Amino acid sequence: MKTLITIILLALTVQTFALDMKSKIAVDATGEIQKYLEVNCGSNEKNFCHQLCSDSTSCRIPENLCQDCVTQKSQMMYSIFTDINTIFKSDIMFVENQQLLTFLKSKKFISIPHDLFINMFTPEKKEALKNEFEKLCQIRVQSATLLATVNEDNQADQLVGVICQDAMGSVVLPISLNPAFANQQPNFWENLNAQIGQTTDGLKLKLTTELSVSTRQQNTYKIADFTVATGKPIVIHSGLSIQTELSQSSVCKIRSYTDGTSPVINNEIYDKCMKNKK
Amino acid sequence: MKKQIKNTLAALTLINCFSLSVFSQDKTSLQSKPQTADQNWLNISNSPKCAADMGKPSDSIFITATLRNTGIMLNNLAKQTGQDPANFVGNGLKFYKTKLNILAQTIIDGMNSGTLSFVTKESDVLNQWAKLNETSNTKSFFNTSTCSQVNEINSYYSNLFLRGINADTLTQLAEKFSEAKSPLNCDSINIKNDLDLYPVFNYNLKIADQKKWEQSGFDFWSSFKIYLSWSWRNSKNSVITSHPMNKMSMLAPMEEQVLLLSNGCKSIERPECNSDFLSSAELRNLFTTDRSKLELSGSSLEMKDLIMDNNDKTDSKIKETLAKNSGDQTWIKDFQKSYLGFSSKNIENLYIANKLFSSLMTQKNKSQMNSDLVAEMSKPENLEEANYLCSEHRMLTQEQPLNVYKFDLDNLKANSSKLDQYLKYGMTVSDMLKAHADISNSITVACNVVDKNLKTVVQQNWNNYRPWYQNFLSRYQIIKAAIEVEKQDAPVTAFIDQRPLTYLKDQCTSAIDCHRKMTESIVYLNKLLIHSRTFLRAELQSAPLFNERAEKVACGMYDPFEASRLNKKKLVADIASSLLFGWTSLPIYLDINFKPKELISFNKLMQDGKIRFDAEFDKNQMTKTISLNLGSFVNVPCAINISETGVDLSETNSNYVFKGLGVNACKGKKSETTESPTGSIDVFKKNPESDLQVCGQCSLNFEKIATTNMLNVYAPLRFVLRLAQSLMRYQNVKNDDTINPREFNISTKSLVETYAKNNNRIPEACVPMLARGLSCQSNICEALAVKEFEIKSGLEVENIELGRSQSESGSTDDYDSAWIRVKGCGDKQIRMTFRCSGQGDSFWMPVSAREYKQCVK
Repeated sequence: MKTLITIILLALTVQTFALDMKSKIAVDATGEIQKYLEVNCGSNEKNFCHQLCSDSTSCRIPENLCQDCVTQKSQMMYSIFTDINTIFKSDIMFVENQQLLTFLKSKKFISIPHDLFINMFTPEKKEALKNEFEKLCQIRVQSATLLATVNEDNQADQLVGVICQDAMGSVVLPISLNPAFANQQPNFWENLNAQIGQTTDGLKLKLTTELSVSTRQQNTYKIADFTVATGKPIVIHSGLSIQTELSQSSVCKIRSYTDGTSPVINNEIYDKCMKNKK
Repeated sequence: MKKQIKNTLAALTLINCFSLSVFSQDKTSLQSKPQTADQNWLNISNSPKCAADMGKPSDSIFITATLRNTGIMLNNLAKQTGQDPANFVGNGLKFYKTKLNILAQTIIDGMNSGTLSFVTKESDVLNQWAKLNETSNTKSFFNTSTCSQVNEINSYYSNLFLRGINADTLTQLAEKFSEAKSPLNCDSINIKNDLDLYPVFNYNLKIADQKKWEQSGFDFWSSFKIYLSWSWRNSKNSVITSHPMNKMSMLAPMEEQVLLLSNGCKSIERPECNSDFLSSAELRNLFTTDRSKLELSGSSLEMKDLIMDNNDKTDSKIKETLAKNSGDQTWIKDFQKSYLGFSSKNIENLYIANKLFSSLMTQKNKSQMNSDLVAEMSKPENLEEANYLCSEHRMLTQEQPLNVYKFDLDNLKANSSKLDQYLKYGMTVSDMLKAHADISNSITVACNVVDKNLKTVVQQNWNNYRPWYQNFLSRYQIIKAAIEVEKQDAPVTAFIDQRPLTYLKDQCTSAIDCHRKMTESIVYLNKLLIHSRTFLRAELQSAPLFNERAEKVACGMYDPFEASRLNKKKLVADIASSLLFGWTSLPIYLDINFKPKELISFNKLMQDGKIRFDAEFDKNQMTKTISLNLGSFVNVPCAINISETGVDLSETNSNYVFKGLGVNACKGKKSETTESPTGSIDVFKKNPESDLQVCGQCSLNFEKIATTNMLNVYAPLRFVLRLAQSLMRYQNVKNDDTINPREFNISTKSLVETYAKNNNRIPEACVPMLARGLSCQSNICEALAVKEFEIKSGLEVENIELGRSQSESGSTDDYDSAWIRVKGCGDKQIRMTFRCSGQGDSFWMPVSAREYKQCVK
């Protein structure tokens, strides 16, 4: 019983702090299909929403239905719905808020949840597809929603990220081609950074504060955020805010299970995070 | 009721746009005057006539849409958003259909009035489209165009499949027309918001100037397709753009969902001998092929074969399953489903090949793959699988003497960029081909090593060959039949590979397996390339669906007017193609210790040591080569046949050189025993009750030669499977009495009347008259008189009696007068001067207004 209350509390508290993104679809009064991404900003992310849509709590980013998306001639759509983890791989270095903001403000994207109605390849395999999508998030999550860019003609262009969502909120992990499939690596988010005058080159960043797994957090919330963090105010999904000294930021946030099991930080994740500390 | 039928028939005029030129063959006075407008004609052409028509542009087309994907999307969406599914999906589909017809009608009318000129590319459309606002009263090609929704009257079109008529087929047609309802036109008000995912619309143009149309018709349809494609996404028509479902309608490319088909034997596209036409044969086969068997295999050779094949099987099957099953309303829907599935399957193979090649080349480099392959193939336990790899590989790459796939591989290299447009990630097709060329060399070397070290004959199981290889050889059904017989003796089940897919994660079990899958991928890529223009191209597609000989005419393989000459040509082509299965000379000799006509397999001969090889060749390698070349045939029991020609029979110390494997085929039911040089051998017969059973016999042919010649003789080893089939077909076609172009134009009015008068059937005696476009009377002279009178006077004949001639000839077939009673003109009989004899020969009946004016109201 105690556990249950804790979980409920957790859900209530956490949502109010974190960023939360959900792909939604509805039919309006005129019969028109409205597809949009709903962004809810917790108390620590109010600035994000404010910058996104001048509202500090919630934004609704409209998406167009992509043109010519439902076709067997799209290798991207085919791969997404039949074999996503062979062709694509996510990066554990999640997309920073500034990048995400620029991306969302461009409105040139479509969000693809596992049950999106345009799946003509494996419409009957909803559960399996949910698992495949969630594998991209590297840790256990409640849902995974893909983000793809669209071109001027509103046709789907590149698969660039995955929104990983659990009780703590959402983070976006970059997606690129699986190195076991092909070597070429489109670097969408780095290009985006260049456009907005930022860099994520880890070597240039200075790290002054390091947070490791906190005993207190573990005990209380049964989660652990392993954070290599620098820069501006950053939010750890436990709801804590940590002020650091540097103005630039690079955050390696590793989410752990929310169902009470212990977090697993494997070597790959650890190394990748530590690389930025130099 | 009568009124209803009349409406129906009026509608049918549109369906069977009838060319007057047809009557020029009919040497009656009918040719002198055009048909009256209310005549409705049912046009049935035999195959040669249909083939002859293909060079003309169609004036009646079907626009078919396959809205399965759209329907599923709408349904998913309705569930997710809390809409009533039936209503939501229905409205969405209705919009799709409405949009299609608004645009199609706009374009057709725009081009007819001249406001839209012909275009050849999409970039020209925008300027033209702006002119749609201009008004014009010009009628360039046709006076009127109409559109009807085909869904409810599918059975009307069954005449398109008929290639001949008799009392039964006419009765069935009459039955349909008697019961038929009027088709709805395509106005949006008539388009229902139902869940029909496979709508078909029939556009008919009443061509004013046939000659002009024949010059411009192909450009007309080609422009139509470009306009429709462009306007689907860019039209500013407010009825379309303001509709809430418009964006939804653009989610799936329209070009993948809409297909244009010609109604009848004329063409939408100017017939050319290219892969479009080649694959339209495949397209047409989707009608008759079991969809579960839409395995993509083989190569363009299959297409070439299809050209040479008579296709009568397809034809008769269509007749069986479509025309005769008048209740079956689903043919076009079935076709559309097959079409969709076939396209998806094709493109999926490209992605699978891309994944395999890309992953392999990324994770393993060529030298590692090569060393893995060599290591695996050297292990005895892998010998069987190595054998499959080598056989399949040799089938794909062998140079001599006539390569089955060589041409295709070259073609694939030259055109690989056409497939690259479908690939966004991983290797391009030309990269894949380069990689294949490398691995191909490795396989050849590795296979040669295996051959060299071979100590025993390798066990083989037909089922373990890759499907493309099996299918390729199984096209020659005799092999399959033979193999099945073999299985009865010693049942072998296919080895199911349960090894984990670990060599390349989730893709192959071992290096050999990977190499086999790469080889297979190349076959699929080739197939895809061949089909890509018909099945995958971005433009709107069209196909000569009802003209099963279109591609043969286009490719010069079929001359509708010289069928018999062609038949010989075809036989020669068949013989040439049988050489495709030829192999290089093999020095194989036979010890003579055997009983003639004994059934024995090559394998057995080898095991028993009866086969000797030229001393210069390593025995093991030869054994292996035979095994590879003959494939599973090595195990098929064959008769041993010895030709003793040219040999001095007195010579006792004879040797026999292997002259090849002979196969004869027959249709089991028709000929229980088969005629062949080697006599009847029934072992290959299976399931005597099966209708299409194939029986066959094979013989291992040896020729007696003098010992002294032995070392100099390299007898050609030829696989002559095709030959027997070709000869059989040649015989069949030669005896076909329908090899000349023929066409029947039947008046639907007469058909329905005859049907009603004769207790709902068409009597045999009426068939010749109906077939000539006449009504059914007691004889052909009466029928001709009725026709002539009705055409000239515009009145309807109630009754006719002929006056017998008392001429000196005394012939009972001769008449000199006709007494006609006109409907609605009381008992008044009109006497006509008239002459007719025999089967309507020397028919003559002058009709002048003076004679019938009393009945004109």
